[in-house]
Amino acid sequence: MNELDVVRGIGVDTPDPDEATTSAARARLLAAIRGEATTGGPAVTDMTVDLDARRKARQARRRRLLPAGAAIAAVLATALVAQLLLHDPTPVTREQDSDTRVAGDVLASAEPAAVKVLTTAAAAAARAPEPAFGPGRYWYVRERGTRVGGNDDQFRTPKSFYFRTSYDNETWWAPDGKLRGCEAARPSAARGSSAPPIGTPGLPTAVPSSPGRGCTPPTRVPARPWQAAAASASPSAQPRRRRCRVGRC
Amino acid sequence: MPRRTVLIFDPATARLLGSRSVLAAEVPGVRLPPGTVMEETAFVEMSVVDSPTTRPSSGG
Repeated sequence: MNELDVVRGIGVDTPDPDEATTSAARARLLAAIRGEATTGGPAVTDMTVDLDARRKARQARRRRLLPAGAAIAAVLATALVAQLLLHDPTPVTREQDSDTRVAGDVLASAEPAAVKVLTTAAAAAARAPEPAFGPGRYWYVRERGTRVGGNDDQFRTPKSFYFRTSYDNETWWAPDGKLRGCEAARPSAARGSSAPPIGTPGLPTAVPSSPGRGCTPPTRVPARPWQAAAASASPSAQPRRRRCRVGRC
Repeated sequence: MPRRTVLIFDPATARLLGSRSVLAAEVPGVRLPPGTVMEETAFVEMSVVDSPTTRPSSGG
């Protein structure tokens, strides 16, 4: 089919505009032609003015709606994050480090009574005043206890044996993490290779440490750690075994 | 050797009272059964002092 026949067919089906509309459109067209002939460029007609006004109105409406849209998006994002945090906590996976996994397991299996005790202790610690600790001051710790030792050079051989040692430590911690300490210790129950393991009846498991201070703090801080080590190893040292350490850990 | 260490706190004051470490598993070649107490510690005194030669009771 010829395109012109198609256009003519559409024209037949479409009613003609009335005379007034046709005259007004013709007048605007002629005015536009005259304007272009005068200025050498597109004339500013009612139609172009109308288009410009519509474009500016759209831009203004977009500018007005932009902050509102951003605010709505922020509210929706906040609500989504809150839902995720409240209802979908990050699961403890096997890829995480062992400490995290152990902590998660412990918390998951903790008894309510233990949780209550720990919570109470944490609250008490939070209420406790901070000690006046800073430069020129030291955190003094005295501890008594027992530990298991052995002949490490025969570890996992038939000649290996283990013994329990009591100790009495005094440690002065500096704010920078350095420390000096004194330890008085003595073996309590040495075992031969054929002896039963520690803890069997009939053998003492520990000898209590002597009462009083574990050791006397030096009158000054040695400049070099090996000086303290040499002093503690000399025969003229204290009658019982004494070990002083500087810069341990 | 694998150990399991427990810290003991005073629930009223949160003060660290002591610790206990036990052998957590059997170790091949080591004749210590699991559960053996490897170390026990009681923290008998903790305080801030003015020098590394001072004890709390001696004016620290």
